[in-house]
Amino acid sequence: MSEKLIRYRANRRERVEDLNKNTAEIKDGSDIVEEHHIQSRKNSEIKIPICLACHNYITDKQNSLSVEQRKDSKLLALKSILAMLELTCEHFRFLIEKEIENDK
Amino acid sequence: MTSKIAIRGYTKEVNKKEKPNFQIKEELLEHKRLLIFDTETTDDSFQNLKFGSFIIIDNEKEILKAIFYSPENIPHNEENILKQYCLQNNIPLLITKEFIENILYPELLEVQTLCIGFNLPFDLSRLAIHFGEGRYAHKDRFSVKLSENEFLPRIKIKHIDSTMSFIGFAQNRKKFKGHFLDLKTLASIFSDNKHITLRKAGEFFGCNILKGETEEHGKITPQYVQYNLQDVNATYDLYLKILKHYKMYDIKAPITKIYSSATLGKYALKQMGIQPLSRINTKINAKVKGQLMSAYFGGRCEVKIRKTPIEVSVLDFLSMYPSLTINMGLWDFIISKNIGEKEVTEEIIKFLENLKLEDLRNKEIWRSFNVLIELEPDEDVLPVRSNYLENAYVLNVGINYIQYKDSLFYALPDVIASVLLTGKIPKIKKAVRFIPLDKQYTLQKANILGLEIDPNKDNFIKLLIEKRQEFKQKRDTFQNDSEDHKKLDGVQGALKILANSTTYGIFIEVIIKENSSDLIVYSKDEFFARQKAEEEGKFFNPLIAVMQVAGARLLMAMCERYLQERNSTHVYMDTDACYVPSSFTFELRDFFKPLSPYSFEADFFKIEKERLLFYGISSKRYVLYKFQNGKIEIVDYKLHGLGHLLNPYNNGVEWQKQIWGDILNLHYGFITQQDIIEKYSNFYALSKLAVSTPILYKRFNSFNKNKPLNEQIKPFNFFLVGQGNKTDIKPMVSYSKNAQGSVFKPFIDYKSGKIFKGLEYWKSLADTILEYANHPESKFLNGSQNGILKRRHLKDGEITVIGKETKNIEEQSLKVERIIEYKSEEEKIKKILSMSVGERKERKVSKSTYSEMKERLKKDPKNFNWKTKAVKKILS
Repeated sequence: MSEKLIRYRANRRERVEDLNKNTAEIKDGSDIVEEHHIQSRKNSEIKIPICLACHNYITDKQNSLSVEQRKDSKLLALKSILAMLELTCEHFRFLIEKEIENDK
Repeated sequence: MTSKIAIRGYTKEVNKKEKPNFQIKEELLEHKRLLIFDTETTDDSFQNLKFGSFIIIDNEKEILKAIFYSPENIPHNEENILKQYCLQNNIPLLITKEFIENILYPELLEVQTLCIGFNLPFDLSRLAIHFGEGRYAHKDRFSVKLSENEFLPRIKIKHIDSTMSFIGFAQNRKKFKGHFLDLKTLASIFSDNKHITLRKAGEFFGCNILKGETEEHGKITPQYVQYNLQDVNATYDLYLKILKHYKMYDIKAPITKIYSSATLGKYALKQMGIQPLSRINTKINAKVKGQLMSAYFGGRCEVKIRKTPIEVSVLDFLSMYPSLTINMGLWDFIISKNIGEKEVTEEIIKFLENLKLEDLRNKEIWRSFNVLIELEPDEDVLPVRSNYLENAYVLNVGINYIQYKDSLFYALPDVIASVLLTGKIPKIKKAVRFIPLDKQYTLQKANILGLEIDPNKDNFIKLLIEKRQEFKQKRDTFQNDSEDHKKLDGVQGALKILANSTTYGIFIEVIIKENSSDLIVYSKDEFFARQKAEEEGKFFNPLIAVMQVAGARLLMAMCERYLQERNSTHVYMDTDACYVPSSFTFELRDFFKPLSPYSFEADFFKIEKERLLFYGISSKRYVLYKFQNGKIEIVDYKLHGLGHLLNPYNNGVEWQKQIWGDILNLHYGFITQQDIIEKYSNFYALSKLAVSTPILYKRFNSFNKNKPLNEQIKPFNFFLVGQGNKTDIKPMVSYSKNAQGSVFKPFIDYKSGKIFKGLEYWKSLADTILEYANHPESKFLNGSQNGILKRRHLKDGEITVIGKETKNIEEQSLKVERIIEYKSEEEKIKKILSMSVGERKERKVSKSTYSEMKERLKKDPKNFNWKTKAVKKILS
């Protein structure tokens, strides 16, 4: 490989690293907002915009149900709501911890 | 005469999934890292990639410049030349696969580099190893596969027109669509030239590096490689110049999102916090939108005195649509929070009863013209869209006498025009005035083109036009070649583009969906149908568009009436220009003076050309000329319908001008028809098109079958299409430099996809020209005669509701009818069941197929298959 190409590759690697550093911050709404089907895509069209992290968490919780259970849309919705409540609790717990830390 | 009357409709899908109403803020990306590339191809009809070059720029610093090539398309000796050139100049040489997998994808996907090219779809498609078409809603796009590596996403290309395409990555794990920029799009927007080339664009924007010139294409020589490298540099230079020009607009949108001047307009409105009609609370619901759409007709265009030379002056209205937006108070609708309605039937009747031409010179009165009228036409002169010639596939708008048994909707300016031209008041059933109420609370100050605009106080359109005039005057104080002159000229051009793009097109923009769905069609009446829906454009507001165009037609009618009163007539009209006998030039200019909405001194109806001879065949087919020392000297011409034909001489001769010269010589008897036949009979009428859509690409299936990719006609390759000679066959053949010689080759029929051969299928240029010279002005009663034409009388026509009228060059030369006719199922059933034997035979459907179809329909109309070929033929 020619010297020019080697130098180019090094430069590109640097740029990718810079980019990855920057993407840790919130950059674009499309990356963080996801439309979540509360009763799963197959059962219903109802969906709510939530953040990507929440979407992943709730989807994992829903996926913990068996295949048979997943056919029950009410159960799926219940699972979603429970997961959301858990997340809300988690969020408040985090805020309180932060507050205590600040007070110290 | 009973004929078809077509009116526009507004569609709404029944089960449309509403998208969540939250907006994602677009990030203003300053692209620091760029990849610019250009390719060179074989000069045969397959246009296979031979080699190409690219540069990668980071923060205006060149990071890498290299060449790539396809060994399979290059002879051994040329490969050696390429290798030697790279060695001598210390330029890395890669094969195409390496370039794609090791440079292009890592750059575009991982580093999110901006990919730049001039005519980018063509260059990207040269790198492809396979082409597919999108599915479902994306079936109008190409899916271009560049690598066998399954993890590298395909590239999707949707062609809109010759200067505009949507390009992006197909679905990928990063959910990243990529950044692609076709400089041809931006160059054509800012230069207002659809046929711009890289060289012309470079000259227009004053680039330091221009596209190079080469004697021979297709054969690799050191000069040819140099030429390609220069092209890449010229493209980069052009990008910098265009970026600078774009920044002048102060539009807060990523440069990659600018697809047309309309996009600029939309972003400008958004910047001022203006909300579209769909977001504000108005009385204009789907039903009213349908009624407004049914009153929508394009600008007025007609030849009134046909094939009779007459001395004329050309006058046109100063910035017609922006001026009407100001005079009719339409800006208030754009910024209003709410639009109200008020019934004003009696007021309008009274107004029309006392109407005099002189009254319309008061511009204050125009503000009260935003009225939609329901009337029963009875020999009133109104715009009618119809296929005036039997079996014609084109729908034309003509201003004709119309009588109809039921009510139709028209805008008040059209009704006023009718009163002016007939002297009688139509049977008005209801008149509703639209009133703008309050201003939107989201309005905010904005900086656009260096001007501080407060939409709460300023009339944006008026400000743009007045500032433009100011800049023009300033520009003229400098010398033509000076830097200041160029700069000011650029600003005034930008102001013009912005004023036009924020006044008309965006308010009538609809997007045709690719798939059929259940919908309600609103128009004069409303009905259910299952067809392709039309989705509203972002700033869709039919009220504004309808009133503007109707206002423009009223100005034309005023001109016609003025001449009528003086026992004369106009000669030709086109949207905002009127060609009138020379003796009326100055009095007409003065007549319209009071209507100018601007504070500067300028004629509202300005004189463009004076004392020239006019010879017109039909709309947009005319020539302006004079006699100089006994010889015809052509000053200006329009050659609608022939403009897309290839120059048969294959040189720089203005051959279209020559055609007009011949038509005029034929008229004056200087030459005979036989002379024209002799001159052009050895040439054929051919157009050069690109394989730009999957539908077109499919037509080459029979040609491409069982061939390797480099022997196939690929997307974005050029091909030639003939006019078709009296048969149903439309010949298409792959492009070659000697276009006229292509007629001897076997060709593909556009309709059937079968392969034929024979000269008899190609129409000669002589026939095309002679046919052209006799083209009737069909919107008039005696449209095939010479002299003054008379209006048609349309009586109790059959109403059909249609969708968007699309006409682009490709469709023109292929004569592909794409207008959607909305029909309710009951109407369709009635049509099938009541078809006469003659009509059935005309549509080439056999008796047995037809009777079977009828039986199925009677038995189970709900589950009837409307998609079979025979059903489509019957309904056509």
